[in-house]
Amino acid sequence: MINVVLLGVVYILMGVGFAFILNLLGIFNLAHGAIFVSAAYGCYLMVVKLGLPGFVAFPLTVLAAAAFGVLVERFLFRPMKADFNRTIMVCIALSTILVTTFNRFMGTRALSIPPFIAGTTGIGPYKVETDRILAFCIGIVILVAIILFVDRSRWGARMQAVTQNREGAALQGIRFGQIAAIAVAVGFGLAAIGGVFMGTLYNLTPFVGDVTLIKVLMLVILAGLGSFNGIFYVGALLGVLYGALPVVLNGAVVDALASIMVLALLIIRPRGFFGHE
Amino acid sequence: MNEVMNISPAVEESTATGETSRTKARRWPGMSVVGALFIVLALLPLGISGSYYMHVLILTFVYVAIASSWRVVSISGQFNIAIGAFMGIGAYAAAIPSVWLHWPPWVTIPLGAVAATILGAALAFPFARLRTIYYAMGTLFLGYVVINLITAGGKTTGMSTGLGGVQPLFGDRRYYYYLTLGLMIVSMFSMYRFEFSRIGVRMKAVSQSHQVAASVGIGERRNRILAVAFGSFFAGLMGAVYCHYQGVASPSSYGLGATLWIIMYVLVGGINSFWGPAVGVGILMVIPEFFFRDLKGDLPYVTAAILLIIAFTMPEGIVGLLKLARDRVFARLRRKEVDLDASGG
Repeated sequence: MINVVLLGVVYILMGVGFAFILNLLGIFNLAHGAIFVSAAYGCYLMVVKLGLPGFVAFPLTVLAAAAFGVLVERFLFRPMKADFNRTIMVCIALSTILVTTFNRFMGTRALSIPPFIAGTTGIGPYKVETDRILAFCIGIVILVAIILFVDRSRWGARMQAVTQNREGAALQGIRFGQIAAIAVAVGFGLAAIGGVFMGTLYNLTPFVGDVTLIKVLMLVILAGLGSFNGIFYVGALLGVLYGALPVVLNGAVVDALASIMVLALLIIRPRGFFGHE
Repeated sequence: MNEVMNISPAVEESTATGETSRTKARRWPGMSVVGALFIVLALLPLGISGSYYMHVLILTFVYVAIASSWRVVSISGQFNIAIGAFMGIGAYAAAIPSVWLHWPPWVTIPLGAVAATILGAALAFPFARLRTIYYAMGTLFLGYVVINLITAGGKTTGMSTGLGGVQPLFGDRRYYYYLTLGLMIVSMFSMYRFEFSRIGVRMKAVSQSHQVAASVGIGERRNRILAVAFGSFFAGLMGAVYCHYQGVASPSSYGLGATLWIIMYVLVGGINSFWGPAVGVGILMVIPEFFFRDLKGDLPYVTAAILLIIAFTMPEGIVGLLKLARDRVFARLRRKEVDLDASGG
């Protein structure tokens, strides 16, 4: 049960991060999966090689990812001036460099970040690993924080303004560069959180990034392009789909089911469940 | 035809009917270079006997055709991240009858191409509603779905290890060389005719503004599906040939990684030029294979560096840069002629 919910939380985190970059910068971030994997490996290295406790390594990873996001925005995305072909090239190059690095130096065998807290808790026969509960709580807190940030804060309002009309926002004195940097930093940071969660709970190889990227795309398409709320509902739905159904059905069948759902949705309602034009 | 020309003045200078004798004359040296290259390639097997280099060249021919077919789809404004899947459909449509029904390769290869065309058109249908970045996202997902279905096919498709034992066409690699070279030339020729025909102009019109195109009777959806069908024919054909050459069809060679390589070839060569994909394959495939073979695992770094250099310095790719250089030289020559005329007169 907790697995289902947790998987949902990870997908939502990834999806929101991806949507931030997509909506604000108009960039199809093919490197999102690579960032996710890099964060997981970074956290693994800090915990296993440097011997840092998980509570230090986790925020450090996220901050590093956010800082990396600011650098990427400044030196890779901004010079491309949102030209689709060029941003795709940059994203592929970034993703290639990261994945190859981990492939070369960490090998392709599956790794796992050691749990932050050992042991299990629970009532009676229903035992759950404590770190899963912790991860779930952290995930929920972060999601609430993101909602509040977008809805209530000054920066959130600016972001919404840029999403709605970039020129209009610029006329009101909103600097696009700043907003873009924050969006990419938040996007990469969220991807890093998702990556660390996945790294602690599941196995880690350099290639999980691609699969995760595809799940995120599925989520964003289903939710409706340009909708934030949709991502929360559909992320929860996908969490149930991928967490609960494999118990009853074969994994490949679940994948096929989800794929058919997306294709059908594209034919019937291309806007997605919660999208608007 | 006239109305097409009117609504899209920015369509490239060399469209089928708008072509003057002058532009034709200027393209002649280019065409003769290409012809000479083909002749050299045709004579090459007499010179090199090393089977590794021959293998690299066969691979090159296959990928030049596939990358060009991706570019043909892209002229209608569709950034299709599922080309690997169409290649895979062609390969499996050829491999399955070949392995299980023992059909001869001369039947299965056309079958692969036709299957890729039909499925390509059918799959393009739901995606014809999505545009630009959303189309790219949707097709990336589509590629994943197709590979997943192939992998889930059980014993018929050989699951994730792939389907081995596909009948070879010839015993000698040299025949494969000529077959792939011939198919590449034929494919490139048909794609050239396609792009610079009326249909190609319509597609460019759709890509530039689907609303204006629709207002003069150029249906967006029809043209976009046609582009995907036409492109996936060549992707399926080459996928089928290559699978017969290798003797195995495995899902990993048609996944996202393979697709991104094809897109990289096109983007490096230049997405807006017909010869872009060929140049891109030359730069990203032939040069590393012949000159950087000892690097092996570090090779992706070289590729990434090339991509970054192209993205930062030449947004139109290498052919775009060459075109720019050629135009500058021509402009300078013409200015000199004018100067001479003025001083002489």
